[in-house]
Amino acid sequence: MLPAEGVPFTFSKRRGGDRGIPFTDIRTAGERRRMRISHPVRMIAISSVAAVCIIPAASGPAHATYWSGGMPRADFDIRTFDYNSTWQGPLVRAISNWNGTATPVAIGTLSNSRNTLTVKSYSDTWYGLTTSKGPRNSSRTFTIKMNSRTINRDATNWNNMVTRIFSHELGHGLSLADNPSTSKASIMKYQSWSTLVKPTAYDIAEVNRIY
Amino acid sequence: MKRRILSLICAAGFVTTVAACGSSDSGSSASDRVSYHAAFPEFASSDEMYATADSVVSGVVQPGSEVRELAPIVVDSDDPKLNPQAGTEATEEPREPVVVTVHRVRITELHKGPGKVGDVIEVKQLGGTLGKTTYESQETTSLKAGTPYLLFLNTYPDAPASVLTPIQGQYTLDGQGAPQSLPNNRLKLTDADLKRLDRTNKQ
Repeated sequence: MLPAEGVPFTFSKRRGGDRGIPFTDIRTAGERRRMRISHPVRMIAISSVAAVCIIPAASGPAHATYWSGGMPRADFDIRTFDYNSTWQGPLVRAISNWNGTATPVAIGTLSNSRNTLTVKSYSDTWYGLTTSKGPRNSSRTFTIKMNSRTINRDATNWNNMVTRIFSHELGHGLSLADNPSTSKASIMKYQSWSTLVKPTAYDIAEVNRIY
Repeated sequence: MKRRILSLICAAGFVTTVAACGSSDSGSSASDRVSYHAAFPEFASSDEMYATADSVVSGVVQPGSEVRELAPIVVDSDDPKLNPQAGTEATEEPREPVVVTVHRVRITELHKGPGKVGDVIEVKQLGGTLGKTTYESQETTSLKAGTPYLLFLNTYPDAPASVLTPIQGQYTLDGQGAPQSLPNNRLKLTDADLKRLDRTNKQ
């Protein structure tokens, strides 16, 4: 169930968040003395090791299905959209399907959201296009475009396909990449566009792993 | 003490440089980089892809490409599926065109569709650098000038042609003219397949 437009979210589900683990320095005073660094070469060597270790951890989970262009959290909003009822129903269903999963996902609509959905006809071959802007750790926003031209051309079940394309693009907002290397079903694969509508067990597990 | 401070400055500078090289989604330059992730059809067979394409050409990409904005088409229809805003009050939508790179391809062999050998056609791909912003498409493998390709295209009266899908719709041609699939393309198209499809199309 989507929150009413303009109403602040309330989150009943667990949130994704800081998973940093506090640590305690267990070295003895003697060990700490021996670890003192005074030579530039040694300092650079140690720093480079630290950089190699820290950077992958800071840039997100290293996994084939992870996309760093996604949102930093699984609870985000998208600008209120108002298409005719033919489109609105299956579009809203995509959000409801994600919000109904056993994940931290909580997608709402807000009239002043910087994340947007546009449904129009484009002279191109894609069904949907997600654009990700800004650093993930501060001002990340996204826009989703859906191409009515290709959807109308290829849909064998029109309602299902609209829901599926929007669900797939929202999956990018949730840091899921295209075509994960798994034999399991996934809405992120370029397959079954008119039949596979809801996020699968695999998609849900991936979102829970990332957030 | 001075030596120690120097050590710290050197180390900090080194780490910052390495971090800047290794991280693509954080830092001040990230706002000038925009990522595209697009959803495309997937074809079960080369026969299906050939049938879907408006045009199938072998050709060589010409030097020089152009980055353009692809605007949506205004659909004036009462059909609610064709026009998502039919029957509703038009709401203001963000003006955000799609950025594409347009390549020119000289046709060396025409397999299907209009045109003739020697014609130069325009083919667009998602992404490109416009102003200070680089739009990076996750799926696209950029066409390279001077390289021969086999391309399965959709054509448009108001825009350059597009490859059907960036994974399945483009093949480099080896020295013998045989199509080579991109690494993540499960559809393996042989020269014999292509000749068979051409024969069927001409019948």
